[in-house]
Amino acid sequence: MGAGVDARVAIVDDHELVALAVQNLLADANANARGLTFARHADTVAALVSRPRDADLVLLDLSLRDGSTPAENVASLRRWGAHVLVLTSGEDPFLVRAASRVDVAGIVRKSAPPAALLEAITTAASGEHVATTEWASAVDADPLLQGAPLTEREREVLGLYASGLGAREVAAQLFISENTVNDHLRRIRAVYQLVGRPATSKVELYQRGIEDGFVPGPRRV
Amino acid sequence: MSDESSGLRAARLVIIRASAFLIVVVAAVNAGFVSQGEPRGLPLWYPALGSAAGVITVAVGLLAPLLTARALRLGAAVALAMYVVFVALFPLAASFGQVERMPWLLTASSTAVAVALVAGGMSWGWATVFFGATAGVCYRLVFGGFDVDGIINDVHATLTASVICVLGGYVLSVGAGLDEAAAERREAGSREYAERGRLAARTRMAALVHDEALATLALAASPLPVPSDRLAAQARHAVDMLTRLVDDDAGDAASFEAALAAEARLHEAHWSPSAQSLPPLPAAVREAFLGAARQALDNSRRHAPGARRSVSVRVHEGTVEVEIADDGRGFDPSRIADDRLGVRQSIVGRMTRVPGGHACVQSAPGEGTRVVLSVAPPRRVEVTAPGDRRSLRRGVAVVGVGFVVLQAVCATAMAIAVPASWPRQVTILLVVIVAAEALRRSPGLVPSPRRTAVVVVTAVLGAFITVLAAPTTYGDLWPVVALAFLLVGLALRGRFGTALAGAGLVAAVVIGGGAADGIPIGQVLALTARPALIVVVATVMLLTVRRMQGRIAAFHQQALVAEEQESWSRGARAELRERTDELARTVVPLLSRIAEGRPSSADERHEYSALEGALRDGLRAGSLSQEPLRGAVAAARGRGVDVALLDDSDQSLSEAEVRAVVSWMVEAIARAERSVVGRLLPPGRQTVASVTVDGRALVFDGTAQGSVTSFHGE
Repeated sequence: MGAGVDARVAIVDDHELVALAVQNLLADANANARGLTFARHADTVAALVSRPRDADLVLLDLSLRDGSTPAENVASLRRWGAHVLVLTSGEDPFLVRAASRVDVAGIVRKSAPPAALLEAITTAASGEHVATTEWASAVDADPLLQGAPLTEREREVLGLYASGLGAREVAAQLFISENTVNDHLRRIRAVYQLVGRPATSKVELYQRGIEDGFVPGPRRV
Repeated sequence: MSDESSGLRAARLVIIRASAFLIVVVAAVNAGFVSQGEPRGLPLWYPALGSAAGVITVAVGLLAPLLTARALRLGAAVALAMYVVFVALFPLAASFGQVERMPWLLTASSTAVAVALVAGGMSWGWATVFFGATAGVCYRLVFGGFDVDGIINDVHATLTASVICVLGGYVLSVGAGLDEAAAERREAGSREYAERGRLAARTRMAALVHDEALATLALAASPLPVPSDRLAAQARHAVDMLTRLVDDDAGDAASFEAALAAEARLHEAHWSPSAQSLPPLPAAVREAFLGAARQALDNSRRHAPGARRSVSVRVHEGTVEVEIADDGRGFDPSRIADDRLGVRQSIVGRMTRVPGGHACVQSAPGEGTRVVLSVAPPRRVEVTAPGDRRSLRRGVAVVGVGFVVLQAVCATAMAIAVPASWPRQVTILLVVIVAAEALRRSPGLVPSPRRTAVVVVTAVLGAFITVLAAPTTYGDLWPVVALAFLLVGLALRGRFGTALAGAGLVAAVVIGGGAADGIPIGQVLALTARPALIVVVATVMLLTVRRMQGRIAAFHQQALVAEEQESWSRGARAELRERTDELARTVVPLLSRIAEGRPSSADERHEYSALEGALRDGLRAGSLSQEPLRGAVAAARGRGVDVALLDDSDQSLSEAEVRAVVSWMVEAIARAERSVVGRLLPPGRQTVASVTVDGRALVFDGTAQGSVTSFHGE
């Protein structure tokens, strides 16, 4: 992903030290070169959004101790106007899925190498999807996805990605370009969020699919 | 009161009391009758022996609630033994004097049958019935009295004793059934609750400790620049949490109230504790209460500064209620937008996420705000025991057949004794049998009002015609007793009131007829006693069984709840201890080292990272988290390889399959230099596992263990 996104990054984590580590990571020359600046740290989402928006991207701890759920946290951060990148310490697949079904840019392990973390932050700050193995495997294994409108190729990409390959390796494996792999991943993410959204009826799901452009609309003959 | 077999005990109590009641009534009714000297010519010790048996039965009946199960059965056995001796010694007593005929009291075996049921159960009961009937026939043949009156008396005595035996057996089976049902529920309940307790503890552990320890280790392992003194403080905090966790989760009601009080103090609210002691609450419930209360107090402070605040807790029928109130300016709850996080999610959402939880916010402009948080006790499976209705039905069938045969014997005996009366005997026998059959054929357990009315009218009218047509002697009045048994049938099928009223009418008819014939009242009462008593005793026994079922069930229910709660916390504590012991062995030493605040070497970092990974595996690696893979992964992490193990198999693989995958992965991981992702695939895929080593993906070829194939035959 390119440099120069010019984004302010806030973090919601009840471990102050994690925030400090992220702050240090962003203070690094490498991050400055990408236009990333540290905005603020808060213990809870409520505390962060109680002030006017001063961040473009929020790094959100997946399991906050205040009892809030990932879904409600992401929802209120999105309303606040920021992109959300979820940080996890352990990959409880249920929490990962709960977060993936809402509007997050991606899910990254806190113990990921600093370079990978910085890469993910840069990508998410520009509103792009951050695909990780943890995300892919949690989504790939979700029974909810079985009935989702995904193509065979997309399922293949997801499966390979979930096995731990990066976009470049998946592309090489399938003899397609890396961009195509990323397109597939983006669509998988959008479909998953669509499936995960509460729809009261099949009709509603279908309508939403048309609105979002994932299902071809009825054509006049 | 923690009697395991309280059902059986209550059943025995019912039966022994029925027996005592029978003795008292028979003694009262026959006081005049007996003192007229029917057992004339017997030595004094003999009636004394009989009386002693009766007195012991009554005494055991009265003292039963104070006696242990053993003492109760022993007392009943003594009374039974005295009855048997009393009957057996009759020839000896008779040899001392002159006996014109055998006293009928000898064959009144119902009370003895009841006592036998208490002492030894159904088989003893039936043995006593048989013993009484045999003794009656033998003694009548030897000592005289083998006449119509005698035979009919014995027939009805046997029938009455059989009915008592069947009913008593039913009462016992209900009691035992209740015990069994409760024991079963209790065992299942405590197993289930221990499991839930363990699960809750594990979740709590994962949520708090893993998070704490993982965050610390991840930071310690990472090359990210964090101040070492801050990291040390964080590590100390994690160690502290780990070691305190077990004591913390002893988290009984008292500590919950203390935490709530502390929360109130923190927000300068007035605190009023519960008058009653709180039931033990699961950790999830306590956390929901505390979190929601904190949020409510927080809101109150923000929106009603300067208001008086109060926090109170109370228990009502097992529902725990926490109320947070202020006298601030209030607001209109309907104008709170759906998405306002404070109230909707942090308070209401938190409470509704725990089972039985509820939150309600009451406020109006100018009237302050009241937030009521409550958790209702979970609904429980009822303990019920319908009793062994099959054995009851079998018993009733036996008694029914016996009833028909014995009434035929009565009719025949009377027809032989008074040949002219045979058309009357045959008619009444037919009426009795037809009415009994009508009752038996009732569709549903409780007969319809019409059928019930037919049976009652038959019984009363039959008694009336009999009294009118026949002389007032025991033998001639056999149909009255036979008809009374129809009323017992009504009681058995749930028409208690009607049965009692019918018995009263029959008794009135007999007493009226006797009085009209100028028969002494004592004798009339004696004639009435059997038909009336058998209905009364049957009704009382059946009604008591009904009440008993409710009471015992409630009692078992209480025991069950206590047991479940105890096993919940036992399970939770065992799980926590086990986990903390494990963490104390593995995590605490490393955390303590981090807490010293020294800069760590590259090797140490790898060590931290290995441990952090192992903790993560505990959450995500599922069945892959086993030796020898654990060791291989630890070694790889120790070399600085980033390893992730993912189990998405949804437990669809057999142990052998997992073992094969594990040894295959061990081999693949040995060569890893940078990164490894090992994954069990979701069910229904072409292969069951994949492993990606340094960007090269391999899939498990299930056919040959350890063989390595890459995607698309690469």
